[in-house]
Amino acid sequence: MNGVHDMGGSHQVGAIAPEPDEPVFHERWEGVTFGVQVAGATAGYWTSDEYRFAIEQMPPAEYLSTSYFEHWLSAMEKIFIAKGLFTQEEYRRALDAARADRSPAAGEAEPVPPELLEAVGNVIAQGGLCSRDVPQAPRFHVGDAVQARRDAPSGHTRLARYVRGATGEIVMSHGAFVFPDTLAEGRGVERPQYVYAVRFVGTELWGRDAEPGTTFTIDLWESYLQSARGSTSSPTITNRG
Amino acid sequence: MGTDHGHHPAELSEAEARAKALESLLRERGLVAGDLIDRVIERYTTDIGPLNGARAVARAWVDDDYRARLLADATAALQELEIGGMQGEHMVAVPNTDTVHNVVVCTLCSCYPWPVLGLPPRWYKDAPYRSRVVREPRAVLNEFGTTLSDDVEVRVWDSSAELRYLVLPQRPAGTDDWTEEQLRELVTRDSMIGVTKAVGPHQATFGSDGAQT
Repeated sequence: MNGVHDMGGSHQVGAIAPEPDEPVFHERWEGVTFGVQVAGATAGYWTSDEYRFAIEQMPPAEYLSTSYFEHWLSAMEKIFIAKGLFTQEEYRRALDAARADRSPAAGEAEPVPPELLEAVGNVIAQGGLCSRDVPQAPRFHVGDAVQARRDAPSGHTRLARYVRGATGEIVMSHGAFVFPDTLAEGRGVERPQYVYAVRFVGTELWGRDAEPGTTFTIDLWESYLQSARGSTSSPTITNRG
Repeated sequence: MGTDHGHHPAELSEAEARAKALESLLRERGLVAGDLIDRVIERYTTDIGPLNGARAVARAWVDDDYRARLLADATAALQELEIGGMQGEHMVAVPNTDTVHNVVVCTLCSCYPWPVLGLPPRWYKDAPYRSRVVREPRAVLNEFGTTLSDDVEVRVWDSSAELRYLVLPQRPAGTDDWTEEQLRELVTRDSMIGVTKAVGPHQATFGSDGAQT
């Protein structure tokens, strides 16, 4: 979807502000949000792409004015309610209770059931593979000139706007991976296809405003790409590496 | 509590209340129990951080065979050092050279190799970095104190799929007689994102309990 999350190349976004000795979590609620997310992922409530799509569906002004972990809260509220872990009304009541009672959540002194502890530990230590074996051969190979499609789907996609329509060169073939655009719909449709690292020279993306000697490599699924063979506009990458 | 207006502690922020509401509902449903959340927080604040990536980089600096394995199959090479897991399932290492400087971003969300570098800093997740580094990376690197001549290609990697990128910085000059353990101190988080180079031998501060930021 053409959302504000897709911010590559935007102007007027402010200064980059590194924070010296930044803590992993600035406040306890950020850590709680992270922990709740790991618990939800362990229970299988979302794939990464469903989760990302839920964030992308935040109202644009809200997305831009809230922090990363607030995005996570929005995504989890949306998905947990949509998938029936609790209702909107139950969530409203829990919020009211949280606001009224400042004591720590009950039950922290109880032991964690071993199977839950093991499941969460496995998710952290192993994650989940997104690569898949597919029977077909890859359509493109390293060195091929390809053009990113100009599509503008309303659903989830990882085809960032700043490369759409641009011509680049395949520099890595990563193998086949689950397809975000269908997986994000929440029905488990993986439709795996090949993913390639595609390199664009700066001028192809930014024209006369490109900085000298800059290239941009982005991972794109096969259906985001079309062959640019025979294209006269294919730029030459000076590969000094 | 809560009746003594004007003197009681600040109300919960909206975000605090939302996090607490989610935690309580997950507790009721059995997805969270006991001190599970604290244990997860503990993992990501003590065990999982940029010191992991620094171990791999320092190994690659002293061991050419390891370096070759890291560049050929980073996931497996990191696994040799027991580094891996959620958000690091598919790793790619990209080496800086005299003519190429690599830097990593995720413009669409904030993908980041958690098991290798820990959770990302705020600036990596916020709009300015995600917007600017794919348009004017030299200007961004300058702001991080990294000035490169025009004949060095600045190669930006936008981690838009499930591959996670680790920049392999160049070993600083003047460290030929350094041990692997000493070299780890020169490998910062930012140098593995690629916004800086590894720390020079004269800037190193020993005795810190983790890779510097």
